[in-house]
Amino acid sequence: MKTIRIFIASSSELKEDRDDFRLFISNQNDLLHKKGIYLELVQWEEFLDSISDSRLQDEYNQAIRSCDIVVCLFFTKVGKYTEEEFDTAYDVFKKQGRPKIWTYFKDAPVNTGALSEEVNSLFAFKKKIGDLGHFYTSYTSIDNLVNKYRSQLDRYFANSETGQNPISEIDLKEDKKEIPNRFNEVLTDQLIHAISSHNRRVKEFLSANSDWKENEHLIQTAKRLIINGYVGVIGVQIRKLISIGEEDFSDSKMKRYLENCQITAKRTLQLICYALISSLWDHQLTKNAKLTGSQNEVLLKFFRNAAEEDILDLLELLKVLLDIYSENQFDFLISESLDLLPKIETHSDFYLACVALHEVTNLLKDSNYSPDDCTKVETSLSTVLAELSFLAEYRMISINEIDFNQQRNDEEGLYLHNYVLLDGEIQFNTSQSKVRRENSPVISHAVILFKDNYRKNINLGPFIIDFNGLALTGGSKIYFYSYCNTYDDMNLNFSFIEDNSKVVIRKSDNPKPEDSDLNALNKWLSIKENRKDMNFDKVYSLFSQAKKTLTGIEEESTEDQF
Amino acid sequence: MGSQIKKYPFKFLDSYQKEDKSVFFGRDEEINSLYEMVFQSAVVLVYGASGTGKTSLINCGLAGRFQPHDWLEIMVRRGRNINQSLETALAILGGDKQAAIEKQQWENDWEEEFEVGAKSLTPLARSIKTIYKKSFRPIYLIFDQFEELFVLGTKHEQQTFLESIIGLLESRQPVKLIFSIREEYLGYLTDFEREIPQLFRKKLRVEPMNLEKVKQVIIGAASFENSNISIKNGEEDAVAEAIFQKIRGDKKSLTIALPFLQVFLDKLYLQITGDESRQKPVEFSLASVMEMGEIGDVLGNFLADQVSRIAEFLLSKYGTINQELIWKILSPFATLVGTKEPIGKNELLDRLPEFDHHLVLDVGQAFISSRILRYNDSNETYEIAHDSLAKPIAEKRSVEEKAVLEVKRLIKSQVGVKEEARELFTEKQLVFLEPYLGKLNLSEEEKTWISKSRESLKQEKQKEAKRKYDELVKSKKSMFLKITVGVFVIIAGLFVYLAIQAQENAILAEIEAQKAIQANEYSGELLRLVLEGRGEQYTNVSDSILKQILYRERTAPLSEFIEVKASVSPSNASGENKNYTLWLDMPSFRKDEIKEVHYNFCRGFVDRLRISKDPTSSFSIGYLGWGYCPIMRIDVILQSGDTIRKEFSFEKYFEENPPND
Repeated sequence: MKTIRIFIASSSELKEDRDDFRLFISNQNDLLHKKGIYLELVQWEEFLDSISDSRLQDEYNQAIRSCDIVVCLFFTKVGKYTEEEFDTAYDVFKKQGRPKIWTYFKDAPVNTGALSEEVNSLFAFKKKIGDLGHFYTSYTSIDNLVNKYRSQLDRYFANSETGQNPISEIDLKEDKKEIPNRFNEVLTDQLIHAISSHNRRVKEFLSANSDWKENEHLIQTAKRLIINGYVGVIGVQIRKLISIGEEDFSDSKMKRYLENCQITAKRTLQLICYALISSLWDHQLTKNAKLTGSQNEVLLKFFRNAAEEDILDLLELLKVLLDIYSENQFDFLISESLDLLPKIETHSDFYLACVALHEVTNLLKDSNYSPDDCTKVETSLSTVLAELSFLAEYRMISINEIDFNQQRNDEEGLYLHNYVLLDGEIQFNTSQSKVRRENSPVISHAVILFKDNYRKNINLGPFIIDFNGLALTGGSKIYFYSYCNTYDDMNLNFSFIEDNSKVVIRKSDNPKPEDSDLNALNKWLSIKENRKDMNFDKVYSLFSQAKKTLTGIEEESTEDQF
Repeated sequence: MGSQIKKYPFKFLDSYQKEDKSVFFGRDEEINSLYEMVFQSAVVLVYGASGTGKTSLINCGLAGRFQPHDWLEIMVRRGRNINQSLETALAILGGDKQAAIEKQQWENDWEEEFEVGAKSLTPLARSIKTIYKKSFRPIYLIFDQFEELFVLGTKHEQQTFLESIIGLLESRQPVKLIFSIREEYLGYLTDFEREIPQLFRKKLRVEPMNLEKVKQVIIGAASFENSNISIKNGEEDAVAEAIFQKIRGDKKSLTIALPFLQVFLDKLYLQITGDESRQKPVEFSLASVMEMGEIGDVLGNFLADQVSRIAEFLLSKYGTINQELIWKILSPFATLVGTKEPIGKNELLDRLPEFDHHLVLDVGQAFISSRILRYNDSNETYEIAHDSLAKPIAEKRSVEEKAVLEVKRLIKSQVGVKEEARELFTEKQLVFLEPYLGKLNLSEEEKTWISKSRESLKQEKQKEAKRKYDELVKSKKSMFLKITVGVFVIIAGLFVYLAIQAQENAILAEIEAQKAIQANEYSGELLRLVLEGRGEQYTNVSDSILKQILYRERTAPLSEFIEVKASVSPSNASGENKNYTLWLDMPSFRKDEIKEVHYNFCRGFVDRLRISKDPTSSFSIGYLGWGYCPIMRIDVILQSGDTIRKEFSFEKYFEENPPND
């Protein structure tokens, strides 16, 4: 049996990681046993470095000299002793070509109050080992550490087995090299250019910084411009993608990246479809155009579907909606989308990209994906988003209450529109909702989409709603319509854009008193809970009305009929 | 990690972290509420009693609801100064001030349009922005144990912090703030709420654990996939209930504190397995729970156990050690009000000057092994593992230890204020401080401030004496002698008093005595000045006679000097009724020996007993009325408990001062 001795050096702040690491090693031993390898862990007691005055440096050196691998873990500081351990190991390595030194820096939220100036020791140490030509690796969590460690260990064994000298310094360097992070590259590049013709800021950014790709800082700026430049809720999704892209490589990263690419595409298609349906409802109330059977069928499917439409369903819905608009020459605020029709034909790039995004479901189901898949899917998403880049010219807001203020001798009153701007960082702009003074009211409790004139807008209710606005809790929580329990209780399911969790909106059993009974009505309305019920009942009834107008179907009764 | 690794699901006194999501049970409802709140406001307040699990709820419960890319937490504990701790925590994530300043001109433009407008970002907001741009994860800035800012922090520290938070909230950066505070300190947040009105708008009370939740914790911990704990089949509910009963003991409360539960479960595990590495699998059964003794106050007992164990353990090395000494060594870890206080190694040694350093460190080490203390080597401080342990420590303190802490707090809070706004210590405070000064390691600033206060007090007293003297000189010449003595007495009295107080501390007493002598010399000089050229009746009275008088007044029993005085004057409203005033005449510097004075009225008065506790008015009382008692009895109650009984005759008074109307 071949024994590989591993020495772990770290300060006590990483005790947990060290313990988990120890568990991992013992676990590895079970597997390696068959290969005739045993990993022996040389671990020094914690607190030795913080308390004891009489340290046995010689013993340390002796221990390190006998080791094959020295693992150094660092977090917020480099303890004096940990640095000495590194130095000792490095000296020994220079003399006898052993042990290998694997250095990991934890890159994680700091769970502490006061950190001393010793943080500087960390920065200094990083620089020092950088100067030595020693590569180091960052890790975010113990899983991540173990992953990285395992791949290094595999390579170590591979080298040992092929008889390669595993101990040259050159090799040490190569061991430490990381796969460059290519996530987001395509997306950022394509989108920043695609939206530049729709967003003055982005255009200026590009013309002032043609070399932005060379500068880490400007790349990050470009990313933030995309997050905030792309229309509201889609920015939220892009933020997630970009954030995942920044992470260290891991299985979980790939998985979430793929999932979120798909969701981003889906939300984008939903947004356009919902805007089209919402406007179509307005048109049909006055124009009542005759739809073809197949058109009617697709709409009916949308309103009755008991599961959320997938990307290809949405693509079909989009095509039908665009057909209806063009056949009846209806106008549409997002007029650019009317030009989409030829671009989304079967076998177009757009169509193929949607298919690729649709198929992410299979990749995820089999847990069978690679970094290449991520790049491919990212490219597909970029194609879809670039084609829809005109959305960057639109803004979304959630209008809450409207206050009216007219005092004695005022010729006219002020309408104070309370609203929340929905952009890529919505969650953080919700705390202070804004106020806008207007001379007339506007539909309240609505999520609206507009270009430059806020009065000329598409009301996205009841397909996109602000749950918190309706619930009168403050803040904003944007939900997209998902599906209807058509074959059950007819309740509506909405999906929260931040975490895709579902909320069910049902008709409350708290009906609003009749308008004729003013006293009862006033009393009822004075209670906040009632107003909240009223708001959600409205969502429910608006959906039924839209359905009736667009498909001709009355609300189906859920009660048994005898 | 591989699924075959068994995990021990209890955390003893540590809080649960995001990684512990799978072993965190019984909190779903609260997690949901908290999760909703962070979408409703940029500021969320979490409060609850100590030991209800606030920290775990945030770090594990809330954090666990977010995907890794939607959550970047920055935990900030006050440490030695909250503002520095915040800065350092940000620096670690790359948001140090320096990095944030290196900005591209371009970005400034962009900022103006979308962010704060013309107003530039504060350093804190800029750091946050820099960090955000590294990972694009929304930042959750969590201030844990926020009460420390109020219990341990200075006004100045609080103000600076408040200002940076306001700046951050105005900056519209992707950051949310969560404050976690013990509920008994909620009142301290009033000033903050004034500036940050949304602070209380979204708040969550973390409830203590009731039986239902305890069941979820125990059964959950035993039933998740990789747990090395299990419960005997069919006994799940009974085991959980028995544990609940054991912990609440005969208190019959409906809830128990989480640390108690954790300590109990840990004890139970150890009792069955004896495996300190906590790896052996174990099955809890009703029988094994019943074997555990009655616990009552689990943590208090646990701590007491550990203290006696450690005393025994160290006995062979340090012959003289006993439990009392160990409690003393623990004392600096708890604040006066029984919360935990992080303390550095050197500070700890300074606070325990009478102890051998090795002993203190060994005791510390022993408590670390038993997980009662933690050593945080990022800032090199020790800290008790949980607030609920601080209470028993605080309760073990002697009166004197408490007084020292009290004094320390007083000095800290006063000197903590910016110098421009700081007030000098008052006479009363100085008297309170003096005996303990030798036991404290004061900073230069604190020392300077105390001597400044003393100096100022002295000058004020002298000024006052001079003024009084001038005033009186103008009035009645015949009273010169008495007045002069009075002036002397006022000046000397204070310092004699300070000196007496300070005698309790040898070193300081010496200093104070020195000062008293100086003051006496100064007063003597003043006395001679006063007497010069004052007519012959005074020239006969030598310094030594004056000093004799003074000596007697200082040392003889108080009863010899006390005289009851009265004055009667017509009321302003005219008519028959008059103002009657009664007071004690006595050497003013001995007033403090008197606790209160009871004036007993005769029949016919509504309140027949009137009490004055006011030394500044010479314990006077006054009334407006038509009549008086011929003879009044006055009881002077001394601080020592003795009573001096005096009589006052208004009949005699009116004989000597006939009414002239």
